[in-house]
Amino acid sequence: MRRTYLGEFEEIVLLMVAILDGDAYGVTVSQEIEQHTGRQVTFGTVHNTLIRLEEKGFVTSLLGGSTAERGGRRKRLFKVTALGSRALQDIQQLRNELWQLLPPNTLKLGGS
Amino acid sequence: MHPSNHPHPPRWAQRLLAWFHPSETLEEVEGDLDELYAYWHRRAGKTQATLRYVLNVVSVLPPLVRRRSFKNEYSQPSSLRPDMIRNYLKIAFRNLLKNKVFSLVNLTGLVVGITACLMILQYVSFELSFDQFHTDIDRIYRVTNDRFQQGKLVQHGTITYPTIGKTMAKDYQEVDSYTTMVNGGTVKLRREKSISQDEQLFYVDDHFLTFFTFPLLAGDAKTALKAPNSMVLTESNAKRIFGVEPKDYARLIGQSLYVDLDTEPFRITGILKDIPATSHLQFKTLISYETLVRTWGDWVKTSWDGSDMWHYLKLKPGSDAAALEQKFPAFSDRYFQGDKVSGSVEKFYLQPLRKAHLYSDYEYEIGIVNNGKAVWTMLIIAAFILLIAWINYINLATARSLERAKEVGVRKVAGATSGQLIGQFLSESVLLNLFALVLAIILTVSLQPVLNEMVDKPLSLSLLTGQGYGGSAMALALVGVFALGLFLSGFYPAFALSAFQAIQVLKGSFKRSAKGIWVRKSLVVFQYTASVVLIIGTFIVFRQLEFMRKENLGFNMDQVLVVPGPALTLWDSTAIDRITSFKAEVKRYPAIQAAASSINLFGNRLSRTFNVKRVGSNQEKGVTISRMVIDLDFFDTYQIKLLAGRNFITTDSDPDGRKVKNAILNLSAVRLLGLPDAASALGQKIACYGRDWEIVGVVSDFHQQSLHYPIEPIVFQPFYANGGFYSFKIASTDPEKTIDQIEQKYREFFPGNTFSYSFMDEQFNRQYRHDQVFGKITTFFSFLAVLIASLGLFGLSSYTISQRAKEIGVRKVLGASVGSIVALLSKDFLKLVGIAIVIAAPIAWYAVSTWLDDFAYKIDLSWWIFVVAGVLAVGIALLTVSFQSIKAALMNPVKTLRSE
Repeated sequence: MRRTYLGEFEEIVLLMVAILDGDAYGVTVSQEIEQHTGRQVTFGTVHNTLIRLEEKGFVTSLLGGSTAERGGRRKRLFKVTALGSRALQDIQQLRNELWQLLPPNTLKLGGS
Repeated sequence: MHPSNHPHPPRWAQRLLAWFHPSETLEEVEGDLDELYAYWHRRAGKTQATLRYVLNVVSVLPPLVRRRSFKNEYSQPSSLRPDMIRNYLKIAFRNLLKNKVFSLVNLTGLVVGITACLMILQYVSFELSFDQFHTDIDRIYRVTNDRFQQGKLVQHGTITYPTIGKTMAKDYQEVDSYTTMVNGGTVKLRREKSISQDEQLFYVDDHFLTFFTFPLLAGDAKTALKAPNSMVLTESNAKRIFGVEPKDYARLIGQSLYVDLDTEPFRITGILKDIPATSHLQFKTLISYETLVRTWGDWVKTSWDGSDMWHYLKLKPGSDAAALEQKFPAFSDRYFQGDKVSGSVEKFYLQPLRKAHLYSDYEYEIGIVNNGKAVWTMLIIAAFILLIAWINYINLATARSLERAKEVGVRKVAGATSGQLIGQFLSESVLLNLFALVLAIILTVSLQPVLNEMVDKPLSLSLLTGQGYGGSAMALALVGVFALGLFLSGFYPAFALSAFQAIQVLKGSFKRSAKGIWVRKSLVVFQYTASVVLIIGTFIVFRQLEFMRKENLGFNMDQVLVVPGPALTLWDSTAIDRITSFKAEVKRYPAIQAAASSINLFGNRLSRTFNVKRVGSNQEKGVTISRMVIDLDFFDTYQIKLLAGRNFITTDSDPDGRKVKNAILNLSAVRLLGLPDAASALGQKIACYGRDWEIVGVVSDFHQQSLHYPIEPIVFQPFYANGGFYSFKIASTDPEKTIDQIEQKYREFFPGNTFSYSFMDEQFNRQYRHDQVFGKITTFFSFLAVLIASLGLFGLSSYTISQRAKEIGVRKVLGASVGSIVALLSKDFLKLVGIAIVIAAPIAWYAVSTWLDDFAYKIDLSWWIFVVAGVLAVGIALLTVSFQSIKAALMNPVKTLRSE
């Protein structure tokens, strides 16, 4: 089966959506990425990536109820789809397989 | 919330965001950014927060931001999905079935329109495709020749002097090649005992076969017609005479055939593929020009004043025919020196081969000609009929808008877009049109034999699919026109109907727009205008045909039987006696009232002699007079009145033609010679045909040809010949028996000849066959056009009236009479027809006067014809409308009113 290509940042965003488990929206995703990876990303990048992930069918979104703290504006909450979680698992599995293939000392020698 | 706890991002940045960020995601992004601002503000202070806020706002502005594609919550299938199309067709089909009368009216209109159009187009395509099979058609020109005497045009012909083609080819380097031909008339071919039918024969020079594209199946095109007494036959002719198969054609080369009475055999040197029906030159046999040199003498190659030759020139590629024509006046000066050489001033022109069939108004035409104007008129009629049929469709479809409006409203409320509604209505029109097309093609194919007989042409649908004018481009063009018409006729109703506002329609306050009514009314006016023009045209054509049939021709051709003379009997010193005694023998039968022999008959172009002078007059220049060769009984047989002097008597004729010197003139000739009246011509002498002739009598003028042509000045000469015609005035009772009697005597007197006969009036009226075909076709198609227009009016009126059913009910309840209601309902439609008549009259007047211009003698365009046509149109419209309006007026008002 041909998998849809998932970029590195896309993978991180998708993972974050999964981690946030139902509470994922632009703000939380940005904050989590900043906290966990230390990367300063613009909001636009996160916003665009979420839209792209949705177009690819890895996440779905729903406009949540309005909250007073945002001046009554609704949040768009993201959720990982079956296809998205499958893609994440596939990546994980592929990495594991590749790690298994690694000769025992290669990284130690080269990396130290 | 505490103000310090609730910091605000800069307003200008917020506004920037609101303006430029895509609206689909503005709400969530504004909220997210506000939240982030608050977060940054808490963590890093106001300055940092503002800075980051601005930076992040920029990151979600175009072009950096990604647009969220709009997704409807309900799926919106495309109008072109197979499911939708299937649905459209299903609904369309149901709608057609639901309104059976309308569908039928509509379908009938379309089928009739398309069928008529296909038929006419076949004819037009056939006529336009003449001579297209010649590979060099665009480079081939015919030399035409106008002759002037004293500044007056005396001949406008395609025949000219034998030297012209050759000399032009020699003098002008633009000329690539030329060919010269002579009309040999009809001949019979003999092989041993068997004799063929009359075959058209041309004498042609040896370039003919390579000049034109008439391919040889056997023989060599370059040399076949070089030697004297060479003959080339067409395939079907060869088959009939020799009974051979195509593979044996080569064996026929070198075989002998005899022509008429010639004792010298002709050698077959080639077999031609049959001449296409679309060739303006039609012949069965070709004989080499050199043969003519032997029999007619050297002049057929060298003469500058004897003329009976047709010349065609082929120009070199890229040569300009107009520029070459400019050089012809100098050519005339050089070779004809004014009128010194031939007796008239000669002007030469080049007529493109493309125009030889349809645009040739020349005398002494060798080819088949037709009237180009008539052909284009047909095309216009075809276009109009199709247009009227489509207009019907538009009219009926929009007339039903009230009913369909509710449907449109409900569909729109259910979420249909205009695109889908247009798709819906278009598919109805496509379905109906395609169905009509299929029926029309079936109808055309099954009516083909009738059509072909009517126009006397080998027409077929293949003329429209690549065999005819324009080749396959024609087929493509037709498909294009049909698709365009289908599209346009479907589009107007589709747009009009889909544009309804759902809310208005469903609220019930919907009224038909004034604009829609205006459009429909103008369409009806257009339809009726076209119909009235056609009605008037048909009237005029018929009146003219009638006029030509009834017009006093100056001679009486009723019950005159014409028998071709014995062409196979040799001429000798006893010939005149034999002819006279044959006539006398036949006249002994009581049924035969008169018998005459002549070389010429009515209806054919007479030969002319130029340079005729009255002996002793001070006329310097000669005049041109036509010639008719007749015997002493001719005027009696045709009841032509003698105005002065005497008829021919036996002693005027002589077996030795050189001794004949008495002649009779008609009144026109007397006047042309400058004499005041018939009596003054008696005893005068005229010089022509190389000697002086004494005028012994003068007869009244008569129409020697159809009324297309003016009456000509004629000199009558008392010669006899075996190849002419016998005319017998017979009693009307039992013509079969009389013909049998004549045949018996004919065989007795002229053994070995074939007997055939015709009636003079039929033969004469055959000159009008193109006019008659034109008349028949215009009548037929005018009828169709009126029929279609009436169908349209019928549909429209029944609809409008059904819409006003309640109004009629109320009126009746209030005491309106049936008559007043019918008048009320019919008035609207009659107004439209009235406008149509006003528009149509000048158009028709212009069209018919153009057509009548082709006749030298024609009817006057009197105003009452227009009135009659108008009354007829109003009558038809009234009849159409009143059927519905009377029905509506008679209806019980209870029925229409109780439903509310």
